[in-house]
Amino acid sequence: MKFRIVMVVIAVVLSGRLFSQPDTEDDKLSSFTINSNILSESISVTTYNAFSNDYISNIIYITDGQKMIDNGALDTIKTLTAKGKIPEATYVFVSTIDAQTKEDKRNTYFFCNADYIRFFEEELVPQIEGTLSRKRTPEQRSLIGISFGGLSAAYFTGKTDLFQNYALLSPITYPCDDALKAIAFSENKNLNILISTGKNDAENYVTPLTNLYKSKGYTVKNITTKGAHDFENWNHQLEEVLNFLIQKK
Amino acid sequence: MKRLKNVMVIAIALFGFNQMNAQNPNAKITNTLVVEASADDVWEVLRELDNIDELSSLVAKVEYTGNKAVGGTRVCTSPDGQGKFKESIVAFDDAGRTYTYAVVEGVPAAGMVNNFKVVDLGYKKSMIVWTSTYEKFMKNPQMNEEQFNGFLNTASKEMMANAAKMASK
Repeated sequence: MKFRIVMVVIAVVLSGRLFSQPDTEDDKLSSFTINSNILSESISVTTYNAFSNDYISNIIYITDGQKMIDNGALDTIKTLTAKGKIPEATYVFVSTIDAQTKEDKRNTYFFCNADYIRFFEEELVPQIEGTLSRKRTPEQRSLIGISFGGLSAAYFTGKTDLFQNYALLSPITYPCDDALKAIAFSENKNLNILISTGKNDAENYVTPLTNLYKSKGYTVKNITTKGAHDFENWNHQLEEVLNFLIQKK
Repeated sequence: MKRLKNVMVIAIALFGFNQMNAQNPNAKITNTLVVEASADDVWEVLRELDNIDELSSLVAKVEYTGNKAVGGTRVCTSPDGQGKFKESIVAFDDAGRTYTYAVVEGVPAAGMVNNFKVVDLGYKKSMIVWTSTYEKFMKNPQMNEEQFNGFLNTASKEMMANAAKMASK
């Protein structure tokens, strides 16, 4: 009996620790590796929990995660959050760089790869959200992809109902016609999609995607900047992008 | 619908099954037609996108929405008003004289994507190439896969022939 009480106390203390709001910046960051059976690769993941209320926080998944962090996206998000310019959320940076070999696998993952979607559906999202006190819905999930990651995100819009909100930043779609076909055949409803391009960037790909999404009745927002196909441009868009993704519905 | 079925049965009987891949789950059909008109003239006809009712006797009405480009959609209605095909333009290339459309509703096939391309043969000659792929035939009481492929062959050949006539005028 005594043992049971001790166990219950420990469980309560532990659960309180897991689900309580983070105390310091270090508490908010977590890095780990997922050994994916589906992809047969080790995927590095970094999460940043900027929330104060776990029950309402949205989750933003970001592909090319490590490169986004290395090039200032996480710092930008921290700053914007601290200034109250974007809503609080949980961010999941999903790296394309193999944790062991350091090889960048983005061209494997991003070119209409059904296994990459399965990795999200069956391994990544369950593992990430399994630690939360309440399962998130597609409405509370967003996916951000840059460049070929934008192509991958476009493929996701057509092939999975895991996310309801997407940001395709400078999407380059020529490597894979199947993305547009997947969108045409998709039965997904009510998606919110932001598509951006800079100058001499992804202009040729934005119009076809926008037209196709509008034909599906989705909410589409376009951003055109004077920036280039680079992280500086994408980081500058984050405030507008995140406010679109985490808009109050 | 009965009329449409009759047309299809007659068409199948007339044109036979020589280009069918009935047992192939990734069936692909290719039809070609050499045209006595320039590639530009033929492409001018095909690029209209909303004139399928002029190209096919199986279509009486076309309701086109959106741009005449990727993202445009058209709903083609059969002469008896019962059959409707919803198609979405998924690729459009003026320079390459080609466009691709996904048939998202109205056919007993999943993932059907068709393509028109006009090839310049020079000396005011050209060739129309029409291809069709689909992922899976959906079993139904109206027709089997062979009949469906026959329908596709017939319909595409008629569209190409009419496009050729219109371009030659």
